[in-house]
This record gives sequence, structure tokens and C-alpha cells, in this order.
Amino acid sequence: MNKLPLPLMEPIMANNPVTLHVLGICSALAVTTSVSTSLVMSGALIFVLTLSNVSISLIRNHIPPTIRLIIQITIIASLVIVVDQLLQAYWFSMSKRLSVFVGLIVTNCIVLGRAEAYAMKNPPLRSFQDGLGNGLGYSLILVIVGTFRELLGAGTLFGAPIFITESDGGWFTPIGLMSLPPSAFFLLGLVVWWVRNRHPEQVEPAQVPAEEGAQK
Amino acid sequence: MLIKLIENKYKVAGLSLPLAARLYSDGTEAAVDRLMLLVLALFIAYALGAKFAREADRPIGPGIIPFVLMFVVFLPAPVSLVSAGVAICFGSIFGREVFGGKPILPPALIALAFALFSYPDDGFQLRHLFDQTQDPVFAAASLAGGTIYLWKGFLAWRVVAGAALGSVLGSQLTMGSISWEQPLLGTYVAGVLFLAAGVESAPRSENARWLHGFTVGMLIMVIRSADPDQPDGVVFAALLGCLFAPLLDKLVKWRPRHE
Repeated sequence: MNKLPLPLMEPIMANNPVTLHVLGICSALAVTTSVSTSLVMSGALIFVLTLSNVSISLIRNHIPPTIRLIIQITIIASLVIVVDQLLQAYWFSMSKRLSVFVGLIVTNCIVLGRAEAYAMKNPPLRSFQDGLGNGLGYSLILVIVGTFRELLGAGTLFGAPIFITESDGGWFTPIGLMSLPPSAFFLLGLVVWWVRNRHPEQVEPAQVPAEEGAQK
Repeated sequence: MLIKLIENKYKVAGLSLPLAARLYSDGTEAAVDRLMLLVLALFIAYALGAKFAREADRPIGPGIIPFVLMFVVFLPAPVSLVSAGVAICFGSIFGREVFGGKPILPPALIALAFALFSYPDDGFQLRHLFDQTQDPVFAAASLAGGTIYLWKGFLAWRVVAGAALGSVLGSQLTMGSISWEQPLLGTYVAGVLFLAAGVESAPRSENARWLHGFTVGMLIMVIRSADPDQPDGVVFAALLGCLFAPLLDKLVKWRPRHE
């Protein structure tokens, strides 16, 4: 495990873009109703993030600083269009289920954030590792949330029944809230809680003293 | 546990009255179910409270028994033990323990809202509310319990008055006439008194309390007439009202700046 390069490993757990920086949660909320959509979304994001990091890093010394955001977004948007068109061409049903959220990877804060914060300052190989690592970190959270939401909300995984629901003569009562968007926030909160329990250095200082905050 | 019971004896007394009315109208079988639910809920809430208190090295937060009683009072008749147990877990963790045992919204409200959205087919929705006969005994018992709350200062009377005004206007606007039997239907009285008007979750300032009550009363009528999925509407209205309470506090203090 220690053999793997740091830019790849760090964003997966210790410096996760979702749980530490709370970036990219808009899509984490929308596509996690089932594991398969979470996985496809993760794949799309990993593709876009890795390639955008590499290409931006390759031309980083030629980008005029004043228009760098425009160039970054142009590259990212081109990659997103490629993914979106591929999905529509070869996996139309999945493209329907993901609706606009593949297209919205353009506005995903992780992609632009890594381009600006890392790829603009680092050589291509390390940018590649950083993109892959951040993509995997995002995917990890998405798959965790997606697994719980599908399992508890419908009793299935990848569409196959795991818990037999009451309507099919089983014992399991699906928790309807899990199919609604707010449950992604609750689950994300629980994941952040668990991670910060293991990594206490990630805990932010309280903005309001605990006693005062409780009374407000 | 016993110490907690004595500490909250007025709250317990105030909630026992509507609970008794519920048990009375349930009939024997459903009453036994409800009491079993009460025991289960008490056990879960206390176990979670103790567990979190030990983890964080703090005393168990107050108000576990009122929380559980309130939850059981608001349950419509037939719900399964599992769904109620999951709901009480959720309310307990996200309503109380996450905030260090001191709730910012009534935890019973959070548990009920969770159950409403999660198990709409499991009896939580008070389906066919308008076909049901009115329950004046429950309404009167809630009113009596609310009086104890008011006497001890657990209730903000401005919220209650505001809710009455809001409901009058709301029913006039949505149903075309002022409907006087609305408060007797479902959990209206108990909801306005215990969920919306509790001093912990109501706004702090006096004017904001009027506004808060008015909003909740009006919302109940709007939801009852507009949303067939939520025939009761009390829990959702109280949830929305309580979420807006801090904003209402800010709003009444806000003054336009004179140039």
C-alpha cells in the first residue's frame, strides 16, 4: 500500500474531496438512488477528471493566466460531451437514468478544483495520479451512499433483490425516505462523521461554543 | 431513569392525558400494541442516549421520556414495531444525540417526519382522515395536557393564538369557508400545542411567535386541502414552521435602513 504514489492514495481516504472538502455533493445527492447509477457516474467522473488533469497539466506553461479558467472549462466541457455522447450512443437506458447529471460534471467542483489547484502546478504524471485518486475518492463515497440507499430504500442491489420486501411476501419494509434526495445528505453526514472519528485532525474548530450553540 | 422521570414530571403529566385518550379510543388490542410500542421506544431512545453520552463523556441529555411519549401519542393506530423502531432511532440520533443531547427541533417531530416520508403505507399517513369520525376526546385531552404545559411555561401561548388565526384564514382561503370541525380532526390540537408551540423550538421573540404560529396554522389547512398524500398535514407543517423559527426571529428584528 505504501508503494503506491502519494497523490494517488491521499485523496481516497485522508484527503477525500467529498468528506473533507465537501465538494461535488450535488451529484452525490442526485445519482445515488442505486448502485449502478453511482458506478457509472463515478466512471464518467474518473474519465473526465483524469484526462482533464493530464491535458491541462501538459499545456500548463502555455496557458495565459488571465484566461486560464476559460481554457480549463473548455477542456473539461469537451471531455464531458464525449462521455455524454458515448453513453447516449451505447447505453441509452443508463443515460436516461442519469439524465442531466453527466452533463453537469462540467460544473462539478472537484474537476475544476483539481485543475486549478493541482494540474496547473504539477507535471502530467503526478496530475494523472492526482486526478485518478480524487476520482476514486469521490467514487468510494458515491458507491457507499448508493449501496445504502438502494439496499434500504428498495431492498435491492444492482436491481437484484437482497431483502425481500413486504409487497413480495418478505419481511423487509423499504424505508421510503432513502429514495428521496435528503437521505443522501443524512448518509453523507454519517460517512463524514465516521471518517472524522478516525481522523480527528479533520475536525473543524467550532464556530460557536458548544453550550451557546445548543441554546440558540 | 427514575430521576429523569421526576425531573420531567409536568411534561410527563401533560403528555399522559392525550396518551390516555388515545388508548381509550384505540380499543383493547390496539391499546396493547401502543403500550408495547411505548416500551420499545423508551428502551431504544434510552439505550441510544446512554451510548452516546458514554462515547462523548457527558451526561444523558434531558427529555427522553417526553420525546418518546410525544412520538407514541402522535402515532395513528396501526403501525408495525419495526417501522416505529427505525423512526425512533432516526429521531433519537438526528434529533437529539447529534446535537449533544440538546435538541434544536423536537426529536419526536423528526422521528414522525421520518416515519411519514418513509412508511406512507404503514399507517403513518392517517389515510382517510376526512372519512374518520372526529375525536373530541383526544382533542380535549390534548388541550388539558397543553394547559399543564402552559402553566409550567413549556408552551408559547402566542404561537397557539397565531395558529388559530392562521387556520381560520387558511380554511377560509383554501376551503371557501371557516371550517370549525377541522381542529377536531387528526392531530391538530396536539400538533399545534406540543410540536409547534414548545418553547425550545418556537422563536424567541414575541412577534416572531405570532408569525410562527400563524404560518403553522395556515400551512396545516393548505396541506390538508392541497396534498392528498398528507391528509393530516400537522407534522409536516410543524416541521416547516420550526425550521423557519430562527429566520422569523431575525425577520422581526430587521429594520429597513433610513437614508
